[in-house]
Formats: sequence, structure tokens, C-alpha cells
Amino acid sequence: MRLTTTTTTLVATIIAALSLTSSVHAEEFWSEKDVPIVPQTFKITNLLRTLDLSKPIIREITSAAVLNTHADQDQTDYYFPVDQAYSDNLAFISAENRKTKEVLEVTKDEEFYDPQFQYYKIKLATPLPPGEKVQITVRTSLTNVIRAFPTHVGQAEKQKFVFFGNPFALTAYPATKQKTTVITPNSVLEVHEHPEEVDLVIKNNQVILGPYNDVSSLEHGIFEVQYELSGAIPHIRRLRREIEVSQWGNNLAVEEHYNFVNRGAELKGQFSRIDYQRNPMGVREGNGALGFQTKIPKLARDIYYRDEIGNISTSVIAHHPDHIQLMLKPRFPLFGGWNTTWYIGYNTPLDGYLRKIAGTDKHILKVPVISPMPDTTYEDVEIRIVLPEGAKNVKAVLPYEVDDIEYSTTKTYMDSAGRSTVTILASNLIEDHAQDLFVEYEFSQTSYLTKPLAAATMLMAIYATSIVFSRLDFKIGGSTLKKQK
Amino acid sequence: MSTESSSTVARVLKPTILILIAIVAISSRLFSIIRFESVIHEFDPWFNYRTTQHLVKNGFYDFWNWFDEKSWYPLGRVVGGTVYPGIMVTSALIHNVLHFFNFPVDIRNVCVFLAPMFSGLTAFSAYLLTKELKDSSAGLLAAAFLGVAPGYISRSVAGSYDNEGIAIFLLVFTFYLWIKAVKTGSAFFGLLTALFYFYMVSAWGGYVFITNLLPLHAFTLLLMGRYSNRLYVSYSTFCAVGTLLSMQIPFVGFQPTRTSEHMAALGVFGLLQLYAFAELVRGYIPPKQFRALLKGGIVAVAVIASIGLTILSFSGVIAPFTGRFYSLYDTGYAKIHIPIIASVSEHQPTAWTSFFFDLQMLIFLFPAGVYLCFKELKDEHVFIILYSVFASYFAGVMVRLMLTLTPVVCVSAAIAYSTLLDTYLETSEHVLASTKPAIAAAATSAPVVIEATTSDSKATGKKTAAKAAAAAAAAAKSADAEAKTHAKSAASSEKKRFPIFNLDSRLLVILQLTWFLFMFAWHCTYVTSGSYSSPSIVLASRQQDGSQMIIDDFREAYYWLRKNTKEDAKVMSWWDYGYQMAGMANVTTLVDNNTWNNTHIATVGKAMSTSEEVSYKVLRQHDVDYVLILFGGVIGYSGDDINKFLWMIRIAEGVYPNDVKETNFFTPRGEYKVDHDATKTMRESLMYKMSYYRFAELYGSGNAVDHVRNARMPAEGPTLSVLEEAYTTENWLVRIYKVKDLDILGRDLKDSTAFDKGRVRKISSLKKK
Amino acid sequence: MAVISRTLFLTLLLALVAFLSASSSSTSSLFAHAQPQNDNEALLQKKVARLEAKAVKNKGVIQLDSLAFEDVMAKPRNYSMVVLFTAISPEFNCVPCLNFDPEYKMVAAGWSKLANKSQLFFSILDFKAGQAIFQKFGMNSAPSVLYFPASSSISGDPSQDRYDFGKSGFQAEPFAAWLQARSGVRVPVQRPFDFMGLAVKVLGTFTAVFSVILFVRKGRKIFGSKYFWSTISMIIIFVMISGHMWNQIRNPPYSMPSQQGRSGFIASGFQNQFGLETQIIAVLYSLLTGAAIGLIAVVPRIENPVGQRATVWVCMGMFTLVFSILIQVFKLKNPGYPFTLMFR
Repeated sequence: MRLTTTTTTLVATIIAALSLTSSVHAEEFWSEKDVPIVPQTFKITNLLRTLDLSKPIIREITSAAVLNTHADQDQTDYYFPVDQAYSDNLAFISAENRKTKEVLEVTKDEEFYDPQFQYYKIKLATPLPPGEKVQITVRTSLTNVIRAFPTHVGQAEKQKFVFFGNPFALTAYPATKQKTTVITPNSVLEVHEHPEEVDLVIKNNQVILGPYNDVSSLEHGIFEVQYELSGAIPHIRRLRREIEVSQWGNNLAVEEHYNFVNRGAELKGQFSRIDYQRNPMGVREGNGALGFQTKIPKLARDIYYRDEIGNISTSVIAHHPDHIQLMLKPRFPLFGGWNTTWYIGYNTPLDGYLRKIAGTDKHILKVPVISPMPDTTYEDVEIRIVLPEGAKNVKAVLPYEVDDIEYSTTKTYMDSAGRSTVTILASNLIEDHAQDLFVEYEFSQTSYLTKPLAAATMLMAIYATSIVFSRLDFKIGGSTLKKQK
Repeated sequence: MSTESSSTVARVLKPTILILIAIVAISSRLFSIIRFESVIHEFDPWFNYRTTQHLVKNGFYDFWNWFDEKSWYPLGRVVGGTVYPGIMVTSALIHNVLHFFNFPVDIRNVCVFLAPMFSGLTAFSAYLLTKELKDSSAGLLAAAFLGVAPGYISRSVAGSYDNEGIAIFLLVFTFYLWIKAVKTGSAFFGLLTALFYFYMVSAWGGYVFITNLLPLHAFTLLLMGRYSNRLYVSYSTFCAVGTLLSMQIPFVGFQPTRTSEHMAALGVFGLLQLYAFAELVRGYIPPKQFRALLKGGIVAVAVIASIGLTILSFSGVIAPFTGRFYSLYDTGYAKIHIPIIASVSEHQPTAWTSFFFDLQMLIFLFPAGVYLCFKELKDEHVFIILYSVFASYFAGVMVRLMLTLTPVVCVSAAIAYSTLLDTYLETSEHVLASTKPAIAAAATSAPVVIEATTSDSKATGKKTAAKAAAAAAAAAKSADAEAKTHAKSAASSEKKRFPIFNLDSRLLVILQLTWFLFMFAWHCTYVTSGSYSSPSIVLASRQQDGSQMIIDDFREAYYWLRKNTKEDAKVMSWWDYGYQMAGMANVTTLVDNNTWNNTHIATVGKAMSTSEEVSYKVLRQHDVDYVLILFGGVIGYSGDDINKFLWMIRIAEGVYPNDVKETNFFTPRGEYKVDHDATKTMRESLMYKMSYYRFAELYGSGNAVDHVRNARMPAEGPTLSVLEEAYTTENWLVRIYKVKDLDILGRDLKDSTAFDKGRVRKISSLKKK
Repeated sequence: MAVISRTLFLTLLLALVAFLSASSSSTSSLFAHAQPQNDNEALLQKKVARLEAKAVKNKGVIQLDSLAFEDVMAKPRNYSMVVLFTAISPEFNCVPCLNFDPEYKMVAAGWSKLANKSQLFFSILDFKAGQAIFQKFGMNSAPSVLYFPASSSISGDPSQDRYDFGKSGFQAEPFAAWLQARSGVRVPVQRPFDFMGLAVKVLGTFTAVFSVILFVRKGRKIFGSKYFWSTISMIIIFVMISGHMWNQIRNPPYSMPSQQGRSGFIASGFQNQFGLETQIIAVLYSLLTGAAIGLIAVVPRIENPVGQRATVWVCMGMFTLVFSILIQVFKLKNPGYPFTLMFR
């Protein structure tokens, strides 16, 4: 433990004031030194790690030079530990070979369970012979780990955040040399506490921890950075995305329902329009947002932007060569802690999204999971894909694992049997998840006919009934009435 | 029936034309949707929309017993018992049916498009009604007129989801059924009339118009000596069933038996029974004794009835007229006694311009139609005459009642117009043909009567042949009596008639009339698009470059309230905005457009018009969290709260005369001022302070101008101590204030704010150094 | 030709009732006789004399401008002044000013009939003439009447006294009562003899008597006859659709002294109307209806083609003409209205 008691108590107090992530650290300080339970087959000769705090979503890039220390065996599995406390915040993880730039497969490890650490297994493309080295870069994105401090700021007042982190790169293997660079948006920053004897350099918007020599595995302490981060912390509590495929109309209808909250420091007191009108930009410099941007396909037609009480008149559409940029301006500026909801929708030709496998009835639909908004975190995402009536053997394939995939049927306009529907539930998504998902299904030519047939029968029924009714005579004392006519 | 309808061409044409008319009627009501969006308009529709949503979501019974604690806080409102559920049930039904057939239409759209859809039906029923009066060609004209007449469009554009939307259809259709019933004397149509009357009762307070018009018609027919078993059957059926049914609506309850508005119906009912009885007796007794008996009977009945009525009304079993209704008779009444009613703009009298604006050429064809009704004076024409006379009176008293006038205007104008066309288009044989209906009617009436009487005797269970025969004889007598009258009227109206000899005169008239039709169509479109198609929750204004700018402040404010205040936030505002707030902002309101509790409204008025100290007590007592006001001073929106302020004061003064005094708000010169020479009371009133709080800062020093009352405001704006500005919309149209909690140190809020201000100033001054 | 006569009779009745349907009032034109009375103070006497001369010239009312006002108000003053601050000229379009002007003059005239009229003078200060004074008294609304008791100075003087239109209204009588309260002299207000009113009354009584006689003659017949009832109901309808109820409730003035530019019978503004206006409208409507009825009922009864043609052309011509007049009137009320028939 590299901490004197005084600072410990100090830490304890701050920690008490702050939330989960740090409190876990609190336990750790007094716990015994941790030993990794994964096989110690590697040694890290050099490790560089950058913590990018310049955005609401924190990106950690760890690139390590790894040496196979095993006597004779080649090694393929490199383990990357993540603090259990962070594992909920870990939105996205990816790894690549630094030299060859080839992407390495990353899987959540199940066999080595440790209550404190979650291991991720990174599979090396080519087994690493003993004594050989490889350069592995691991990218992780952490959401909701920063807290506004102070928690309330006034209109157009600068907001500050604190980040608690581990001064050392957490490794499953001992590292001979490692160094961490923390990047903040601007030079307004203070490092509150950190292991004393570690040398720590602050040059304008960077904090450089280390380099440290001979850091043992799973080494961790704590350091706290308080820095300035202006603008909203956009957070989508819930996103419901509905995609409806119509092979008849060769149309893909998309509708997205957003439930938004600004996670920035909350607005102190009340909103004053006059101050806002005096300097509207102050909102962005402070804790507010005036609007959001999102991309939609460039062939999108009849785009709408509404909410529970109707059309939102303030939105701008910008056509770019490869996409349409939507500037969504909510009814009111969104200060810290303010909520709003809205939904957007559009139609687009199906051509770009659906592919029929020649000779078979098999169709493959390819749509993005989300249409991302920059620096936004999606807490709870539901994607409903409604396939044309008569689609069979539906199967959805996603590039990464999600909470749940359900198959059901929904009935909508002029449906007899109902349309097979895929519902995908995911949580804690970010920009990086905006990849394509695939839905494959069988849709026979004959099922094209179901709808017109249904419609025809319906009309038939109506006419038949009307004919019958016109023949019937409901009149009391009809005879006289007829005379009257 | 007229000749042309027999031809097959007409058989195809008529439905087509009717459908086209319906399409025109619907599409001419969609301006607002094309210009803006599919959204509910105005104020009351928002309540209907909200209740409909509730009905769709929670089912009928829950809606029936719905106690809405989000309105009239802290009193709450028993919605099920205080609404006319007709419109909600209708649209809920449509919604559910559509969903049953897998048409997942949003309930909002059902509500938005309800009124236009029904306007199509109204046109159709106008066709039916007029067909009964003249012929189908007149019917088509009437349908076309009613389809596009601005007088009706004004209340039935897409999005104005209000009772009138369906009520007018019901009104016209009920009348059609009634006339049908009177003509045929069939209990079936009488029953249908009753059923649609019930629907009408469930849909609109205006049902009272029917309740009084039908008895009046029956009574007039009696006076004209036109009593017939047809009349007896139809009216008795209607009255008995209709009254019972109407009492099933909780909001109406026992009114049909207890209030003066409904007495006429019952009275005529009784009278008819007596008359029928007399007719029956006449069959048995020699004329002389009968006459004596009749005299005695009449006197006795009259005495008993009058005594009974007086006793009942004095003992309060029969309630006197309600204020709203009464103000139709004594036009000055509302202005003096019920400021709330008087304050509503649609309760103002109607200037002649409104008549012309809403009905253009129909308004002077209308009397011609009435004249024609007089010419062939059959039972149904009597009805139309009565309708037109009374409706035109009511329309004169209240702008709103133009609505009830419009149908009859269209019908009789159509009669006049088509008669003109007949005269100048038809070949000579048809010109003479107009005798036929009268004679035909006369001829057919006898068998009808026989039929009716036999059914009577069955009903009464008297199987004795003699009696039946007697009844039949009596009936027959009355029948040929009226046959005579018909014949007479026919004869009198039909002296020698000649065709129009010269082609040029024919052409002249026809071309002119056609041209007038064009003008009428243009006029209607112009009026509809210009005046009746703005959804009042969104304001459209033109910018310098001519492009349309949409002012959406109301929804901005409401949505902010909806999303960023706590669930049970209580928001105080003037009653005009109550429904909109409940609907759009989903907050608890103190008062709303259902102005059932004058005292509560007056309390709000008091809170608005008194000084901060006084009103703070009121605000705390009603645990108000926010206060919402409209302020048009920045963009010159004249319908804002400062302009409505006088009504608030008046209403408040009515209940709290020693807290609020209207005279204190007028300058010694008797002017209503907001600028430098505003009175002290004015400047200290909460409304004034909220409206102009920090208003002056918006402009340079000392040249702040209120664009509504174009008054130059003092540079030193008012200060607030018990409220703090919570939200103000983009154009300052809506301003929301948060009611402060009691001071932690138990200070008077005024002092505490003063203290804070002081400290703030010190700090800022320090900062400067 | 029974039908024609019936129609004409009907139309006549309509017009008549339309006249009945308005509150009558009118402008006045009177002459005051100045009688100089010997006064011991020369200066004042001169002034008073001058004033009276003016009063005579201007029919009992003294038209002031800023200078004259100052002069008149100057001390010493053994007479009290009533000053009407107004803005008659049309560009201000001050309807109440126009309303009150005749009433005021009437009271002035009434006063000038009195013996000791020289203790009080009526004067009018038009905004055009005396803007300075308007500012001085901080008048930003017209009309307003100030009463200056004798021998008092102006400007910020507490004893100056204002007539409250809001309370008392624009009629002459309450104003006279108010004056009486100030000056202690009862001002007789006699409205000028209203020939129109008389004519209306005479005709009215005549018809009443006529109808009574008819009724007495063959009461049942009349009551039974549908012409009687048709006339009644038509009259009611016409009265209503020409906006008579509005007059009943709002009781507007009967008409205005016509300004240059716009005539005095048609009120400006969509939701505003004069008594005479509604009558004009009623007449127009009845003419139109009459024409229509003529086309329907009369024409087919005429057997000789020439006469028939003539009737058709006459009726249709009247119809079109009156309709276009009506539209023109409506355009006056609602300038934005785009459509016209005959006149541009």
C-alpha cells in the first residue's frame, strides 16, 4: 500500500461522497495483494496506456509488448483483466495486433472467475512461439464513470468532472516498464491524489504517470483528476427502434423513439430566458445542449421529427453526398438533469438493404443496429424488425453479443396471419456499436399474393353483406311506406 | 317523386354526386393539417382528446367512473358524470373497430379526422331531409351547401375535436327522422328519432334545441287543426322513449323531468294524450254534449295543470332555467349576473357581417325558401318554418349558435335555389308537376291513417270491432279533413302556371345563378382557409422575407412542464389554459374550461390580481408549485393574460369584494394602463409582476415597449419575492413561475430575497475589483 | 297580380320593421342667442363677451386651439369651463369621439338656452388644434371632458374634474346630470325633433291600427291565413339575420356624422355596426329575397311573353345589382375581402 493513513482517511471521505466505482477501490486498499489466476505465460516488456478524458465516453488504449515466457509452448490466449467494478461501465472492447493491424478476437472469459476481476481472452492470430514478442493494442470504452463535481452549476457556468482511476495499467502479467498518459479537454485540471512517490508530470492538458519499472501484475492504486468538460453529457435512457420491411412497396420504414436525459451537472436555480437570449452559446460552454446531430440514409424520404404532443418545428436537414445529416433541435434547451423525448422516422428504398440469394427463397436484410449520435450513451435499446407477412425461418445475426433476441409476430395493416418480427434487446451501447446486423429469412413468391387476396376477400365480404342488406326489408308496415315513396 | 330520379342515369349520378360532395366537404376541412400538422386544436378539444385517450386505454367502465384528480385541484372532477360522452365513445368505437380489423390507427388521428368525416354524413342527412321537403335535386343542392358552408366548417375543421363536430350531424339526422316519422306515422321512425335524440343528448348540450323544437312542431300542428294519428304515434313514441333514454346520461340525469327547459316536451305529450282521448270520446257522444264536455275538460285541465306547475316550480321540484340557457331569453342577463358566461367570446351576439361571412348568398336565399315552405304548407314545411324562425333568433343572440342555424339555412336556400332551377330549366310539363306531391300526399294520407289506427287498437288491446271502427271513422274524418287542407293548399298555390317562353330569360337566370354558385364556392374556400383553419396552439407569422415562421411557444412550455416537473406538480393558470395543460403538459390544474365552480375560478382570479403577500397565502393553501401565464408583449399577441386580466378581476370581485376592487385597476381618468401611470394596485398585482418581470431588460435602458398595448414600460421593472422565474418560452409568450417554499430561516420571503440580492450585489462588486 | 302586390306589401313591411329595429338618436344643430350682461370688471367682461361671441358663432360651443385654451384658462376667471378633449378627424378613427360629439353639442345648446349661461362655457379642443395641451394634461385617450371651476388655475390643479365615460356612458343625459352636480344648474337636454322617428311611429301605429281592424273584421281568417304568419316569420328572420340582436345588446349609435372619405352609416370594423347600417342590410336582404321570390312565383304567372321577359330581366337585374351592392358594403367592413360582383 503506497498510502499514508492521513491521505487514506481523506480518500475515504471523498470516496464516501462519490459513487460505486471508487467505493470498490476503497475495499481494495485494505485487501491483500491480488494474485492473477490466469496462467502466467507472458511477461510485458513495455506498456503504453492512454486515458482519453476529452469526451464523455472514456477511451482507454493499452498497447503492450508481450513476451512469451513459457519454456516450450506456443501461446495463443492473452488475458486482459478489467476491474469488476468497471465491467458494467465497459461498453466496448477491441484488440488488434499493433504491427500487422489485424483485428484480434476478444471474448469474455468464463473459465477463470475472480470476484474482483473480469478477464477478457484475446486470441492471437498466430500462436506466439516461446521467447517471441508481439505488440497487442487493446481499446476499451468506459461509460458513466465520470461524475459532475460540483453537482450543480448555474446557467452558462463551466462544469467540472472528477475521474477516479488506476495510476497503473491493470495487467494479468508483470510489466517491466509501463507508462500512462491522461488526456483532458483543456489545461484546466487538477490531480488531487495519487501515490506520492510516483513521479507525475502535468503539461498543459496531459497528465503523465510513470514511467514505472517492474510493476507487478494486477497492481492498482488510485488517483483522481478533476477537469473541465463543457457541453451536455448526452444519455439515451431508452431507444426503441422500429424497422418495417415491405417487399411489396420496396420500402424500409424506420422509426426511432428516444428518451433523453442530460447527465451533466444540474442547473442551479431556475432557467432565465433573458440571460439565455443575451448569450445562447453559453449553454454549450456550460452544461447544456441546444440540439443533436444524427445521420440517416441519403435516400430517406418523408422524414418526420415529433414528440408526444406533435410536430417539432425546429429541425434542419442537410444533404451530404453519402448521407443526410439531421440537426434535431428540441423544444427547449437541455440543461443538466433536464429530460425530453422525441421520435424521428423516415422511409427509404429497400434496395440497399435487402439481398435475395439467387435460386432460393432466402433473403438477407442488412441494417445498422443504431444510427449513432456522437458521444452518446444508450442505456437500454430495443430494436424491432418487422418482416413482410409470410416470412419464415427468421434468424438474426449480430456482430457482438446482446442481451436477448426474441422472435414473434405482429399484426398491422390488412394482415391476416401476422408478420414475423425480430426483437433485439441490448444495453449500454455507444457509437462503436453502430455496425450492421443481419436478418435472414425465407420469403416465397407465393406469399406476395397473400395481401391482395386478403384485401380482395375483405372487399368481397363488404359487398356481399351490402347486397344482402339491400335485399332485406326492415320496415314496420313496409307496405304503406312503399306507397309513400 | 320528381321525374328525373326515375331515370337510370340519375340513379347512378345521385350516389356519385353525394360521394363527391362528401369528399369535398372532408377535404375542404383539411387546410390546417396541410398547413401545419395533424394536431388537436383550440382548448375544449384537448379535454375531449384526453378523456378519449383515457377511454381507449382503460375501457368504458373505468371511464364512466373516472374521478379526475388532476383537474380542479384540490376538488377534483367526476368526469364520467360531468361530460357528454357521445364524441369520446364514438371515436373510441371507431378506433377499436379499426384495430379489430388490424388497422393500428393512432387514436389522435381518429380524433383529428372525426369532425370532417361526420361533416360528410351531415351533408348526406341534409340531402335526406331536403328530399323529404321537396325532391332529390334540392336535396343534392342542400348537401352541397351544407358541405361547404363556413358556418358549419367553423366548428368542424380537422383537429377541432369538439362536440359540435358530431352534434350537427345528429341534429340534422334526428330532424330528418322526425319528419319521416310525422309523414309516415310509423312507430319505427319515431323510435329511430328517439334513439338518435339519445345519441344527440349524449353528444351535445344543444340537444335542448331538439327537446323544444319537436314539441313546438307538434303543438303548432295541433293549433293548425292538423292533429292526426300519425302525429300522435310519432310524437308519443319519440317523447316516451327519448326522455327515458336521455335520462340514462349521468350528466343529464333527472333534468328532463325537473328543469323548465324540458317541460315543453312533457306538456305537449300530455296535451296530445288528452287530444287523442277527446277524439276518441267524440266518436261516442253526440256533438252537443261533447262540446260541453270538451269545454269543461279544457278548463279543468288548464286549471289543474297551471296549479300543479306553479306548486312544483315554487317547491323547487322544477328548477328554473339555467344561466346559460336563460341568457338566450334575457340577453342582458349574462352580462350582469354571470361574468364567466359573458367573458367567453363565442357567447357574444352576432353582427350582420358574421351572418354574411358564414353563409354568403344562402343568407338571402334562406327567406325565399321559407316563403316556398309557406306556399305548400305541409307538416314538414311547418317544421322547417319553426326551425328557421327560432334558429335565426338564437343565432342572433350568440355567435356560437350560428351552428344550429346553418343547416336550416342550407336546406331552405337549397329549396329556393332548386325551385329557381326547376322553373327556368324544366320543360313546361314539369313546371306544372309541383302540384303532384301535394295531391299524392293527400291521397296517401288516408290509408296511412287506417293503418295507424288499426295498430293503435291492437296496442291498446281493445279488440272490439265497434271501437276499432269508431276509431277508424274518427281517423278517417281527420284524414279527409287534412286531405282537404292539402288539396286547398295545392289549389291555392297552383293557379295557372306558364312555362318560361323566351330562351334568353332562361339563359340569363341560369347563367347568373351558376355564376353565383361559383362565387359561393370561392367565398367558402376563402373563408375556410383564411379564418377557420388555424389550430390556435401554433401561431404562424410571416417574416420580412415572406417565409412562414411558426411560433410554437405553447407547446414548448407545455412540453417543458411535462418533462421537467415532478409527477404531481400543481400548476395554476387562468381557466382558458386548463384543458390544454392537462392534455399537453399532463400536470394538475386548479381550474379549467369546464367552468363549473365559479368560486374556485374567482380564487385563482384573486391570486392573480392581489399583491404578492395576499396571493402567496392563496398559492400555499392550494399547494401550487408553478404559475403559468401568457404574455404577448414581446411579439404583440393580443390574446394574452393582461388583456384578459379585467375579467379575472371582475370574477374575483364577485366572490371576494373586499380583496379585489375593479376600480383600483383604473387610473383616475378611467383608463386601463400598464405603463408609468398604471395604478399602484395594478403594479402590485401578481399578474402584472409576472408579466413584466425582467421585461424591460430585454430592451435598451428605458425604451421597453409592450407591443400589444403599445405602452412604453418603466425602465425599473417589477421585482418578485414569492415567485421565481422557472421557464419563459422563446418569444416570451408563455411564462412559468415557481412558487418559492417558505424561507428556511422563517424570514418573510420579501426580506430574504432582498437580503440575497444585497449579498449577490456585494459579491459581484467584489469580483469586479 | 295578387302575388306581386303581396310581395311588395311584404317588402314594405320588412323595410319598415327594419327601421323600427334601431335605437334612434341624431346630431343636433342649434343656435344660441348671446345676451351680454353688464359686469363690473372690464377685463373679464371683455373676455366673457368675446367668449360668448365665439359661442354664438359656434352654436354654443367654443372651438379652441392651444393658444386660445391658455388664454381662456388664464386667471382671473369668474366663469368655469367645460373642455372636451377630442379627435374628430377621421385619420384617428376615434369612434367614441364621433359618438359623443353630437351629445356634447346638444348639452351645450341646452345650456346656452339658459339665462345665466355666462358662468359656464363649453369648449372643444381637437387633438389637431391643441396637441400641446393634450400633452400638458397627459391626455393619451380621447374623448375626455375636463371641468374647470371658476377662478382656478390650470395644470396639475386638483379641482379640475374629469367626466368618466366608462361609468356614465356617451349619452347626453348622464353628462348633463354630471354637469349639474358640478355647476348646480340643471341643464335641459331636449333632443331635436326626429322626423324619421315620427314617420316610423306614424307608420307603425297606422299599420298596427290597420292590422287590428283587419283582425277584428275577420279575426280567425287572419290568424288562419298563412300570409299573416308568413309575413310575421319573414319579418322576424330578416330582423335577426341583419344583426338586430347585436344592436339590442350593444346598443350602438344610430349613425355618425359622415366624415370625408367614409360614410356615416357604415361602422368601421368587422364586429361593429350602427343602427342605420343594420336597417340598410335588412332592406338589401329583403330586396334580394323579393327578387328571388319574384323569379320563382311571379314570373311563371305572366302569360304574355314580353311582360314575362321584362319581369325576368328586371328581377334578375335587381338581384345582381343589390347583391353586388351588398358585397361592396361587406368590403367596407372587411377590406381584405377579395371578391366583387359588378363594381370593382
